[in-house]
Order: sequence, then structure tokens, then C-alpha cells
Amino acid sequence: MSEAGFLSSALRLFTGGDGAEGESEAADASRAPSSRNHEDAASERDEAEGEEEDESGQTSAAAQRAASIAAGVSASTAAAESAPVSIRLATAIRGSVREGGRSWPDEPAGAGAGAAGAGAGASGPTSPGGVTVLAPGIVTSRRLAEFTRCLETRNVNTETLRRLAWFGVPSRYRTATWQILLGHLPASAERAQHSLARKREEYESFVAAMSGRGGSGMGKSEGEQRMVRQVLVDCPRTCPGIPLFHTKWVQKSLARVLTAYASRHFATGYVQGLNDLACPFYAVFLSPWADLDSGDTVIEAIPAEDKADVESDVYWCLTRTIEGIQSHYLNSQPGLHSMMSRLRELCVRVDGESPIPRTPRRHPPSPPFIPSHAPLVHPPGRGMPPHCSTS
Amino acid sequence: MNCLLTRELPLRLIVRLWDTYIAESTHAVRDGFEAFHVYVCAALLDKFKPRLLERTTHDLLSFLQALDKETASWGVGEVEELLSKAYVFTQMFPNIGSPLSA
Repeated sequence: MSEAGFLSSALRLFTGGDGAEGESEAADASRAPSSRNHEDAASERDEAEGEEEDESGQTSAAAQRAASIAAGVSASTAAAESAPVSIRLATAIRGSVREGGRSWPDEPAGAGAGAAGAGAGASGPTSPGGVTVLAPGIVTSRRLAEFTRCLETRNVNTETLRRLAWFGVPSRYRTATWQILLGHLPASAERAQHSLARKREEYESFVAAMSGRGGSGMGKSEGEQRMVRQVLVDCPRTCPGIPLFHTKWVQKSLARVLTAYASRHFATGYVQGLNDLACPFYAVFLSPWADLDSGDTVIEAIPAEDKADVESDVYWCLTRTIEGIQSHYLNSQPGLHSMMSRLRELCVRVDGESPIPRTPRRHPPSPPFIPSHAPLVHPPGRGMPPHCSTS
Repeated sequence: MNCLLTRELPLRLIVRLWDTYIAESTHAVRDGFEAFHVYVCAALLDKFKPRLLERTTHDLLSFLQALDKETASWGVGEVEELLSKAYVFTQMFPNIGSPLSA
């Protein structure tokens, strides 16, 4: 299946839905080059979907959709009827078309001539062009088709998506998959746009509240000032070797997200390590436009609206992630201790089962090789031990 | 460990790791993410086991804190190996992961 054909056909399904949002520029741009392709694309999609088993009529519904587009039914009508997924997925794919067809490095047909900065698919540390690519998910066209089918529906089946995601997500779909599975992006396309818009407004109100109380620290309590200072110290230390995280926008955005988080979560406040947890989200949500090696020029070229959406998404996804492990970050770190003791128990058990022969060792095998006082964890908050790397 | 291995693995591989973590977290209860993480940490330690066993306590610490140098050259294959091993552990030793059972 040709990537250009797939993209333009997928795009046609979405642009009608977000045309109303004032993205008509993107819609026009996408329609123009794709007009001669969509018939091919439609039949290719039919083929691809025909390969798989028919699941509850989704295949035939999708085929009908594709066929109606090919027949020249106005894209907006078709898309409005079937609006398969939310604006966020649309943004991800639209972004890829804008960049001259970003080639997702892990897709079988996609390596192609290589869009600017995308690099050829590589599972090693860097691609030939020196670009550091995010690790691909499973690369077969079959799995790609499975994800497409799962995501391009009015109501995404999260259980199916979860099972698919366990084995790795194709780069193209990571943004949508993560956001749906984390409960940020509603699985239902109808609720998606409204919900995302509302969350973005809410996030922006948090930021406004923070800076409204005197951005320079006036009017903030001492605790808050300390927190802000800590955030400003930690941001430049985040992901030291990776250019993307040292672009101006990402640094400022990270600071806003972290201070907003801290100001909304008094129990934990800001803890060192939260900055590291935000990084994968930035990497993934910016991936339609930027790679880990991207610099200020690339970031500045991203439309402000898209960047604001990314920032809001990072905030909410970070919040969701930490909810699950919040007990690690409370003062006495009960969650952390519990996790350590479980790890110890597990190691003891694994040792008992291990096929490695018991050769003479300098130290007794149990308790296992985790000294109890050792900071295998990086103690959050109150200063790092001097010998710890800050990476 | 507290940072969900973001300091032990290169970012481009963390992204793959989190695909599975996120899938895990919607599966079990809220502590699914965390429970599976314990198994992944054990799998990571298991992977380095021979080298860890060679070292003194002090060297152990430095080694573990510099794990990112070891993993800098890893590819997706190594991460998927970790995940598979972790999954095997969950089957061999169930119920250790959950904080409710500790």
C-alpha cells in the first residue's frame, strides 16, 4: 500500500470533521494533491482491509466510506457522518502531510525518499542521517492495518487497542493510542473534540492562575516560590543529550506544565523526576513534526495552536500517569518502599529458579544484590546525592 | 526506578517500553503500571546479573547508576527481550507485583 495514497485517503476522512474548526487551509492543501489518488487509495484500503477477517462489519463500513469518497461525495459530508477519530489524530496525520509527507521510520513502504529529518527506518541508536529516531513498534503492514482498523472508527474498542499496543505501537499511531489508553482522548469520536477543547481550556486556566499571581514571584507563597525555582533548575537538566528538549519552546512549555502540575497537586508538589516523566510525552506528541534531533527552527515552524494542544495533552497525560504511582512521590514514599520490597522478593524467587550455576561469589546470594540502603532509585526532591548522574 | 527507568534507558527506547506499560495500566487496576514495572526491573537486573555478581557493593552502586551507558547501544530487540522476560516472570511469580499483596 503506498504511503501517499494511504495518507491522502486517511486525511480525506478527517478534514471534513475539522474543517469547521477553521483548518480549511489544511483541508484544501490535502485535497489538491490527492484528487487523482483517492480512487487508488480507496481500492488499496479495501484490499488491505479485505486481507483481515471481517470484524463486526467494520471492514464493510470502512470500505463503503472509502468508496463514497472515491465517488466524489463531498468530503465534509462523508467525514461528518463517519468522523472516525478526533481532531488529535487528525492533527497527527495532518502534521505529517504538511511536512511534505513525513515518513514514519517504522513503516514498510514509508522509508521512501525520506522527508526532511526523518531518516531511514533503523532500530539502532541513530539512523544514517544522524537523526535519532524513536524506537519503532512492530513494523509489518499487517499490524499497521490492524491499528488503522482499530483507530479509524467512531468508537474505538479500547480493549482491542490495549492488546495491540502491548506489542508495540507504530510511530504514526502512538499519539492517538497513548492518549486513548491513558483516558485522555475519549474513545468516542463524538465526545473527543469537545472534551479535548475543554481540557485545554482548563489547563490554560491553571497556567494563567500561576502566572497571574505575579510571574516573578510576587504574591506567591514561599513554598510556591521554592517550587518554581526548583522547576527552573531542573528543566535545563532534563534529557541532556537530546536537542529537542533544549529548544526554547520545549523548555518553557515543560516549565509551565510542571509548575501547573505542582500547583494543582498539593500532596506531592513538584518532585524531581517529574521532569523526566514528561519527556516521553513530548517526544511522542511532537513526533508528527519533530524528531529528537530537531532544533529551534523546526519547533518554531509548528503552528502555535498545535503546540498549545501538545502542551495541554502532555499535562493531562502526565497527570494520569502519576495518578497511578502517586504514592511514590509522597513524603515518606510508601509506594516506593513497597515497590522495593516487592522487587526484592521477586529477585529472591528468580534467583531460586535461575539456571545460572552457583559459582563461588564474593558475597552471599541472598538477600539479593540490592543493598538495602542503596538508592537504586533516585531520591526525589530534596537534593540528589553528589555522585548521582543528573541525566 | 522511581522515574520508571527513564534514567536507565535511552529515550527512544523508553517510548517503546511505555507502549507496554500503558497497555498494562488499563488492564489491571490502577496499579497495573506499577505492578508490571516491578517485573521489568527484575528482568533488567536479571539481564545484568553476571556482571552484578562480580562486583563489590560499592561497584554495584556505580554500575547501576551508570546503566544508561550500558543501554545506550541497545535497540528495540533488547527492550522487547526485557518485556518478554518480565511477562514470563508475571506468569511464574504472580501476585508479587500488586501492592495489595505485599
